[in-house]
Amino acid sequence: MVGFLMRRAAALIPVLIVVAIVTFLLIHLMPGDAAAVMLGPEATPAQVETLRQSLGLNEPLYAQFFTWVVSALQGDLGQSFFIGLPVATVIQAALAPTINLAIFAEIIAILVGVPAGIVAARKQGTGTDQTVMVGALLGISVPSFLLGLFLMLIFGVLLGWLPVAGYSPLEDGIFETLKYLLLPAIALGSMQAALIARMTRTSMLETLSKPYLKTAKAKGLSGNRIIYKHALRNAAMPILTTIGQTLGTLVAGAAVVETVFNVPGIGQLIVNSIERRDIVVIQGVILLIAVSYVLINFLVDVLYSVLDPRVRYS
Amino acid sequence: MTKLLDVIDLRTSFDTEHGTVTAVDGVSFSVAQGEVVGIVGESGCGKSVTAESILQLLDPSSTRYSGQMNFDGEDLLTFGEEAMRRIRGNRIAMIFQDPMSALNPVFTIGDQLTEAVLAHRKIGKRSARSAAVDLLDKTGIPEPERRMRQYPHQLSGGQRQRVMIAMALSCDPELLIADEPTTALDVTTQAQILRLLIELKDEFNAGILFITHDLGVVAEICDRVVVMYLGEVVESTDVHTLFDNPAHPYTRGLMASTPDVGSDPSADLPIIPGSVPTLHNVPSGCRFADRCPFALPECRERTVELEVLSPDHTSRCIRSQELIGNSPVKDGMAR
Repeated sequence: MVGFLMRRAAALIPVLIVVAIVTFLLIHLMPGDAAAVMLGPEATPAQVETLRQSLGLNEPLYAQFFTWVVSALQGDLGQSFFIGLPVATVIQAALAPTINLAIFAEIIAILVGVPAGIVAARKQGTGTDQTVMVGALLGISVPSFLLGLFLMLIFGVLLGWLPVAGYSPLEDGIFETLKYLLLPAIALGSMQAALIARMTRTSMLETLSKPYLKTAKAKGLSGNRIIYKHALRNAAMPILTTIGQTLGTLVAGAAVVETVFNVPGIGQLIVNSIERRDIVVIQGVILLIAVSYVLINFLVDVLYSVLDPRVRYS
Repeated sequence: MTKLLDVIDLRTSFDTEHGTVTAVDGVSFSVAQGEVVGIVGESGCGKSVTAESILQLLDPSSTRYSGQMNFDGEDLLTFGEEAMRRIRGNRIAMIFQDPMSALNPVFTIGDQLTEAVLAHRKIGKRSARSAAVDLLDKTGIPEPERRMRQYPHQLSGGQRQRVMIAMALSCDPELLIADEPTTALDVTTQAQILRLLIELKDEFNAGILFITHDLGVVAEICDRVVVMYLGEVVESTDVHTLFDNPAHPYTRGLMASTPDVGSDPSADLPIIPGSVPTLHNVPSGCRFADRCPFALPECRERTVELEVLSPDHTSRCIRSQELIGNSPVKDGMAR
């Protein structure tokens, strides 16, 4: 098991190197001079030159890359040109709301999607199955900002049960935070729930025809034990893959939902930074997203091996 | 011998997209304590469906059963799901054909065995585990303690089938249904598993219903044999009568197409011409008539009933009387 983990972790290194190179090159791939773009059309050549100096853009590329990687490894992602704070500090501040929102949304998506998929598979071809599938189709096709606006209108404005927008940090009580995040989490999680439900159904249907489930039944196990122990564990791999993938896309989705609900998270930060042409911040956020994507996939790989012994030994 | 299981006129039909098909059509047989009854037939003859019907393992939403299945004086077909659950694995246990796919790949052998014990016995986890080790030991698996911690893919085919047998015996069943338990194994392992089954049967005094397509296996272990063709019983008798005096042309065909030590290795093995019709177009009249070398025009005209040839010998053929004990088995079969 330890050997398996080591091998898996070692496989991450080349991926992370590629991620670093691509993120680093971002600043150089932009059309025109990065410093000029950041400063806008009214900047004087002297100002541009000063910014070029402070960004190190006059150094040779490999030297820039080396400097960038070394400082990134130390947690220094540069200075935000617009806000005037270190990028790491800016990201850190925005990270908590986004992580809370993403986890909350994913929990909702799993709690809704997995049971819905199981029920649909058990009652394949019936009205229940069709209802779940239609619901999943809606979940996939309704854009999150639209669903968000509807939720906001119904539960925030008309019924007044939940705050319309904003965010309350965890330090002020988890209950408050959840109250603010419930609607954005539903808006964000509905599509993931739909994807998970569909994958669960497909995977379950395939597993339900397996001979070992007949063995389980012939042993005299109860229907629920057969489904939730024997079938689900085998059906879990594709479901887990979907969950991993949806978790990765949540950050992108959060950009929209955070804007709609005015949550001061990474999504909002990236939208604002693009508006401000604050490339150093954009670079930092992209690096963060890419790295977390890689780590989530690593985590899914590890979970595979926990769930299925054949992965460990092969 | 007292009848342990008495199946009377069992009918199992499935709802499919193309209408209802009846896979088992009026099958009757019985199994007594300590007796091994074989059900023989080609693929698609309904023998596995018969076996799974007894425990009602088929998809409940699309399967319909009728008839009677008296087990220890009670008709299993009148049982609800929970009552059936208490029978499965407890009083009637089952062993399946392919031990690789019949064991759950993601749980250890120990987990799956212990679970079988716990499903019906009110004992603690620890005693269930030691009972599981004893069971493995009984089936002759070396190092049972180590096997308990292993996963199915780490065991050989024969060992997996031993695990299946241990699992089936976990609650001392009165009846053991073995659905082609040796088909997926190589010949040496096959013989070991058969011997093990017989030993354990004698030890537990259980009845065995043995589903197979292999007449060699039947000759080796069965006391009585039921031959099935396309959902019906075509011949039923004790094993000696079956091999000495087969009455049904289908039985004779099966025997002729089984090689034995005396067969000429260079000669082609006789085959039964044609193939089993699908359940969607069951021939009217005798279902075997189209493939039968002895068929007469009247065979196709009316339904053929099982004829009692002697107290323990029935055959579904209008020419049974003239065929029995008559011409040598290999006559009349296509070469």
